[in-house]
This record gives sequence, structure tokens and C-alpha cells, in this order.
Amino acid sequence: MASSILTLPAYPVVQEPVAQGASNWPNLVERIRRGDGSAMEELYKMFSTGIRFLLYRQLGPQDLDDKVHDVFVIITQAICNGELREPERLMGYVHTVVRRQVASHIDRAVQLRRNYVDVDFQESVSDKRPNPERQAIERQNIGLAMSVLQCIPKRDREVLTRFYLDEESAENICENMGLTDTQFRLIKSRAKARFGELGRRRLATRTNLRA
Amino acid sequence: MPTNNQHAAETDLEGYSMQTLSLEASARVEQHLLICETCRGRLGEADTYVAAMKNAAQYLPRQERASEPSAPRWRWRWPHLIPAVAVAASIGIAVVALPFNRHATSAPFAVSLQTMRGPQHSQAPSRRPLTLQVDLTGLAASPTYRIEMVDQSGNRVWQGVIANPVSAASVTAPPQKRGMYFVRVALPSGETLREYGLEIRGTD
Repeated sequence: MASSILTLPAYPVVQEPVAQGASNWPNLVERIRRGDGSAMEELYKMFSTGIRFLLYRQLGPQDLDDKVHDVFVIITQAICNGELREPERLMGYVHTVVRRQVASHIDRAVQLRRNYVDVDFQESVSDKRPNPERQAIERQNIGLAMSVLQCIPKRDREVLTRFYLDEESAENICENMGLTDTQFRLIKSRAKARFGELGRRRLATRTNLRA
Repeated sequence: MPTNNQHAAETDLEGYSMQTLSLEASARVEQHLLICETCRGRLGEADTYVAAMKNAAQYLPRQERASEPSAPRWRWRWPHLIPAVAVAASIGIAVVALPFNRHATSAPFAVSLQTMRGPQHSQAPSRRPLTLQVDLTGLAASPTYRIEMVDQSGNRVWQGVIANPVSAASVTAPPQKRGMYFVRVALPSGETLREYGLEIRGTD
């Protein structure tokens, strides 16, 4: 069981650096323009996981490697052709390319569905549901959230329900329920901390049982 | 909001996970996620937490949710009537002013679409027809070009044609809702030649 899902570290405690060399884009761009192989490698190392993450999140796992590769080809060609006029905005450019690739893939999928009728009835359709392990984790997480919701005051429960389930804005909830912004944030952060604490406790119990 | 060297705030990650962030804020978070392993992990946790809370809240006894008064009981006292009177007055003014104002807001908004070289994109207001001025310089010659507007998910929202094109041509598109769009120039055969980013801003 992927137990890490059940534990939430106490945020905000974010001290680690974001990424090495993340602010020296012009230098990196210039080196790529000059055909420096190590700069290409650096660019790939810097962005490949992030690009993969965003593409996976929006398009799923299918042909992920190819899609990441396509994005890099577009970016490096643009840099080499001098099309990136503001090298300091490299990150914004990479993001734009990713977003366009996402839009273009979705568009292509829509066109394919519209234009082609599948006549091969034998072909299997992949099951989009989470696997049994994932389902078990989700059930456990829902159980934890239920425990949190059941042990907090009714008013706090209403705040969380309106925010997470009904997706009301924080401003609206505060206004309707006569809460200050701080009170609202406290209710949310206490519930989240409780969720993390219950997860850690459950994980510890399981570890003890195994030992 | 995160920058290159600052981590994303928890509320931003939660908003991104719930898809309630504005387009600009969402873009900033995504740019940061491109380079930040820590925040990618935190976003995964936010996804887990939001999904768990959402599902758990659905299982709450309906009667409990229904019996909870969401706001203090309304009392018909004079001070409470002031906002209601103000709202009624605003509606009245809007009803009177709308026919005069409609003409002004429905005038087409001219958007100059230039070849994209970087993260910049054109912007236009919502609720107004758009006169898209398209730069056709350097494109494969064709008697007509197909102009297509797709939303962020790639769904086509409008399609038009430019006939007898010169180097720069314009075409009018209907008003669009707030969001990110892409305007594509294609040959009649469907081959896409060029694409422009267009952000529609507004309050809808």
C-alpha cells in the first residue's frame, strides 16, 4: 500500500531551493544558441520533469515521452532560430509551448473522434478507473476526511462543506457566515492538520502491527 | 503568487487543484510547477486532500446540512432594507441605461494578431465582437484561408473564412467568454499554418 499518500507534512515549511540556475535564463539561452551540448542537457534536466508533470496532468499517460520530446524540439528550435526575443522569459515561453501542445492534442483527439468511426469491434477500451490499490488509498483518505468532518464543530463543518463541496469562494463564505479571513483560514488549516495527523497515526499503527 | 525563486502559497496550490484560480494566477502557478519539485509534491497532496474532503462532505447526512442555517435569519428591519433598496435602485438604473449602453459595448473590438515569438499574446474584452486582424505575411499562397478559434481545451468555438487575402486581412468573430483562446490560420484543406494566443478578459 502506498502509505505516503496518507501523510501530509505540516506546511508551510518550505525552505528548499526551487531549482538551481532558475534565474539565469539569458545565459542558458545564449549557450544553447551557440550549440553548447551541456546547455541543452541543462535545459532538459531543468524542465523535463515539470513538462512531463503538466502534460500528464492534462493529457494522461498516453505517448507522454513523445509529447515531452515534441515540446523540447519546439523550444530548442525556437531558441536556435533566434525566435525567443526575451531570453529572461524562457520559463513563460516553455509554459506557452506546453499549453499550446495540450490544446493541440485535445483538438486532434476531438477531430479524430469526429472524423473516424471505429469499425473494429474487437478493439478493447482502456479502463479509466483507478487500480485497486489506488481505490483503496482513496477510500482510506475519504475515511480520514469523514473522521475530520465528524469531530469538528458544526459551524466549521459547514465552512469546509461550502468551500470544498459547493466550491463557494472564501469571500462569500466569510461574508455569509460572519467570519474574518483569519478565522476562515484557521478553520481550514486546523482541519488539514487534523487530516495529516490522523493519517500519520494510522500509518504508525499499521507499522507497529507489522513489526 | 509564486515567482521563479519563491514557492507557491498553499492557497494557490489548493485553488489550482480545485480549478478556481484566475487564468493569470493559474499560469503563474504552472510556470512555477515547471521548475519546482517541492511544489509539484505539494500539489499532489493538495489534490489528495481536496478530493478526500469533497467526497467525504458528500456523505454527510443530508438532513444535517439542510438544517444548518447558512446565514443569520433575515429580519425586516429598516437598516436591513437599505441594501435591498440599493440593489433595487441599481437594477432600475441598469434597466433604463442598458439600451443606451448596449450599442457602445457591442462595437467590434479590433485585435491585431502578430506572429507569436515568446509568451506574449493578444488580449481582448469579453462580450464584444472581435475584429481579428491577421498577419498573413509569409504564408503559403491560397485563395482563401480558414480562421478557427479554439478554447484552451482545443474545442472549436468559431470558424470563419478570409477570401481574396492580402498581406494583412481581418475577419469578425462573435463575442467570447473570458478565457484563453487560440486563433488558427489554416488552408481550406485543414492544414494549420499559424496560431496566435488570444486572452479574453472580462467579468463573465
